[in-house]
Amino acid sequence: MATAKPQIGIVGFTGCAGCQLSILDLEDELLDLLQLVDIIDFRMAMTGNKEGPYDILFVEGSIVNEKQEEELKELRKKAKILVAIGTCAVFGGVQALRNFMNDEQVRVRQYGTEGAKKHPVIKVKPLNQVVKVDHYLLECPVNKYDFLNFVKYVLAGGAPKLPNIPVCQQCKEKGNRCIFLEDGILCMGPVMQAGCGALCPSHNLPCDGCRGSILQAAYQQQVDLMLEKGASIEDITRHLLKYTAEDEQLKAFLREKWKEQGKKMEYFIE
Amino acid sequence: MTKKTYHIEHICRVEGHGNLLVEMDGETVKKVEMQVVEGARFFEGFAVGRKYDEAINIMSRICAICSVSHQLSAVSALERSVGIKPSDQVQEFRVLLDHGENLQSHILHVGMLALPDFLGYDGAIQMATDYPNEVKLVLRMKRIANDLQALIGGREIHPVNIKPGGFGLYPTTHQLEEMKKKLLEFKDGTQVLADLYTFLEMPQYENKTEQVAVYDGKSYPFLEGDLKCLLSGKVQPADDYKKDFIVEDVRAYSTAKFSTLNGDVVYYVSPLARVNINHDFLSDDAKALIIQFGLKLPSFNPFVNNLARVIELMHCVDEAIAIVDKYIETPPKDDNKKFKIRAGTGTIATEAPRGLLNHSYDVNHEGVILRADVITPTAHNVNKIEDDAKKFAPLLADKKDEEIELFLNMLVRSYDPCISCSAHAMQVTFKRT
Repeated sequence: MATAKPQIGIVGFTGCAGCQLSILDLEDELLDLLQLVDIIDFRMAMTGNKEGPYDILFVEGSIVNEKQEEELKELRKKAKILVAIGTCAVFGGVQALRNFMNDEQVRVRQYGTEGAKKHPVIKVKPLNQVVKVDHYLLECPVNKYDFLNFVKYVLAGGAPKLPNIPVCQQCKEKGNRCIFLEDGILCMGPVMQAGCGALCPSHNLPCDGCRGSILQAAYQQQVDLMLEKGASIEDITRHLLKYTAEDEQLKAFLREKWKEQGKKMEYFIE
Repeated sequence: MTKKTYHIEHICRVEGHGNLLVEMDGETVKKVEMQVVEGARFFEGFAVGRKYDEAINIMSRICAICSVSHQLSAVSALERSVGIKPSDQVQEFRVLLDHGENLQSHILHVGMLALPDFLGYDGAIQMATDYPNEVKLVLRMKRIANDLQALIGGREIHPVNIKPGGFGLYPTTHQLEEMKKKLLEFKDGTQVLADLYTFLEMPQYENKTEQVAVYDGKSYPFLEGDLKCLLSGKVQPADDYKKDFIVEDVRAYSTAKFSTLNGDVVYYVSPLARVNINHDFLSDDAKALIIQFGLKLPSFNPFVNNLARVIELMHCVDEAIAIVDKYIETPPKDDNKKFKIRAGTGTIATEAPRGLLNHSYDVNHEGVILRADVITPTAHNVNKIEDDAKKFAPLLADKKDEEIELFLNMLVRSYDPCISCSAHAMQVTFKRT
């Protein structure tokens, strides 16, 4: 048997395993995909796994302890291309907002005063704070078609680019009524990365921001509009950082806004 | 005497990261630890300080495979805490969405995660060469279950269409008609799988512990009800789940908390517990499968969970078809009601695909969450998994090490543990000392 097929690994760190599950949700494409690649490591779906070497390693989840940091560094050494999949791996995920909370208090709420001592934690980190990441695939959970397209691109010898257009644009193309401007419902569509087909606004609900913000996003206009709709700086920060608390660009912008108001962003959630 | 440790590290074909450590001295089990090593995320910690409507999407991230259960439990408990009462239509569409998840989770387990054990493969991918028709059927059924989740929830994983008091968007009559055709196809597939499972031999092992499931005395409930114990017959109101009932403790080797009833009684939550407690309320075709499998109820064999899942596939698809039929007949109305909120406490007991799930919140008059408490099915079960390993391992003492590891893996897998969930836990370590 020819062994020229790319060797693929799919592994997960701390998250909900939704990105790995999304790949298993490619029911119509999975068997065809297996004609083109060898999945050598996918612990969630199979036994008999091989820890590399990988031509492409897809990594889900955020890094929440030192052991995981070491494991990720070891995996990096065995992977030609390392791809962060989903919002936890790319921006920290919902758990990363913990980085803005009093760590001890959060642990005590979960495990009680005695229990908290048994479970020390470090800051929640996206993958690129620990190793070099070659590509990013967005959404919470990862968009399975983005995953599929990525594999196709690599097989064809290229790499996909982010569309870098806001959710707003896809929403307008669909002809949806704007619930942000018309109803004052806080929507993250103007600054968030499109590619989901404006999923939430197409269900009459606001963009929740699960894909992370676009480059050169119009944060200032977004914040002004949110203020105009009656949101506080705390509300704005909670909404914008809901899934992406380790989005450096967004974090830096918000930090300035807090300064302008003479407040500190650390521990802003009680 | 041979001393051995079986440390099954990172148990495969389960969701998340967990290890099972079993140390044996001959036939005596010295030590068992169910180590949930999934990194802790502290959902109960960071839900606090959020507005109730923001938290709904956050709580689904506890677990992808039960994202619908978490989201529906969160929205229901939060609605109760602020005083919103959803309409009957909303409740029925929530049941329909929940059945999408039950079908998806169970078909993934019985078709792709458990079946390879019984047929001797590493996974469904490896099974595809020898059993192409079975694998294709399972993938088709999985697709249909996902289509149902996407139709009602807006997305297959982490629904986007749920809001307090209802849904953002309802399906059209045409979409419901198309869905019905697919559900009928799913039902036919369920019978094919049931016929296959009729001839598979489940390992013989019983552990007669208490079992708990949501109970309402009139239906086979998933989204609402009291807590009923199988052996004692006790019925505990859902609000009082921690009052002389469930006790949690924290252990250093596990990020999942360990639960008992009243501090000492080991209990079990699962599809099997549901079938044991609520079988009278199953659909007729689901009841027929109990007879087809020759299943004697109540059953205390965790491996029989696989059969319970097939029975539930039939029940859930039947119930889903009935709801779809109803709304093809009378299309759903939009939910545009504005709600006034108040401060309060809201608690709910639901059945996720793997068993009992509790969500409870305190919310202030502005809708800000002051306290959150979640007990997931795997957290309910970690103690029972340890108890099972202690009792099951000695029965395997005369077998080869590889077989012991396989059986221990299968034991853990029978729980379909959702490890991301419990660490809001797999790897088996078996040691003969």
